[in-house]
Amino acid sequence: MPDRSCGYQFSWFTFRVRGRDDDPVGTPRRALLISGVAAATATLAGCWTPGGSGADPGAMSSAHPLSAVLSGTLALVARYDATVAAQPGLAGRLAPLRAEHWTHVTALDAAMGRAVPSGPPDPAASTPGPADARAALAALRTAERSAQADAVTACLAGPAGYAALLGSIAACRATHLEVLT
Amino acid sequence: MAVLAGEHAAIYGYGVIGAHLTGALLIQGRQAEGTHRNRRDALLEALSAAGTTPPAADPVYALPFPVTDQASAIRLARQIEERTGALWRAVLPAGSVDQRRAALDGLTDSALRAARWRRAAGQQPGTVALPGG
Repeated sequence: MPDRSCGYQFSWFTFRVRGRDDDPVGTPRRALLISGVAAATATLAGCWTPGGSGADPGAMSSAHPLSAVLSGTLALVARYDATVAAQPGLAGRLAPLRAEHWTHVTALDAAMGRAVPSGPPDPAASTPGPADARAALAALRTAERSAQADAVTACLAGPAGYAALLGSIAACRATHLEVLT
Repeated sequence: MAVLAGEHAAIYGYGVIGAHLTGALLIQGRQAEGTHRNRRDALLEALSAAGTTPPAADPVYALPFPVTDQASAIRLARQIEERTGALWRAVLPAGSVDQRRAALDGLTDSALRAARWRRAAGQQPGTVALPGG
């Protein structure tokens, strides 16, 4: 959402475009208009630069070492929700695992010091579950395996301060693989 | 050092546990003991390579509760894995990448075994959100 100064500049630009054509000053005024357009465009470009003053304060900073794992965890939660929606018979089995992934989200939010905690992801954001329960479990296994590898990598490569949390997340995902048979 | 002491205690504990298990659970206990022996040996190697003289294992370890039957054996096995996992988790931030990888292997393995012992006790799915924490 642009800040107020961007909007003001934009209105000024619009006002200038709507200037009268029958102005007796002629060319110099048109030159002024063109330079005004250029200035306004530059201002608009500045306002819309990612990470600039118009950035959403609740959005994830892509620079944080934990943001990739947080995204991956939210994707896992969405996938579990989509699976349960498509296969209600699996709800009892999958609920405890989904709850553990949500605990990871909360822990990651806390470790990142995020002022606005992550909300439950939209299950529609995940690809729709396969048609039968066996395929759905296989798809979840694949997702957990991949996420487990991501957590291992993050644990080994990341700052020491996050190693214990990431290690526990990786270990938890490994235990899920033995349950999703 | 604390992790080594934990592995010594785990090996002792599994010796007691094995006496009260049969069949598939006994095999599970023996595999767990074997893994703990391997980790103890790796730790001993790493410590002597670093020039440290590691303390010997105690001949007897005080168990947190008496083990008299299969149920208490399973409960002790689960506790052993949870405590070992906590010790490995505590050293994750320290050391080189190789040391961190070894610690993560230790934590992951103990988490898997703890979950298996919980399922053996009838808990489903037997997982916890943050193993070792």
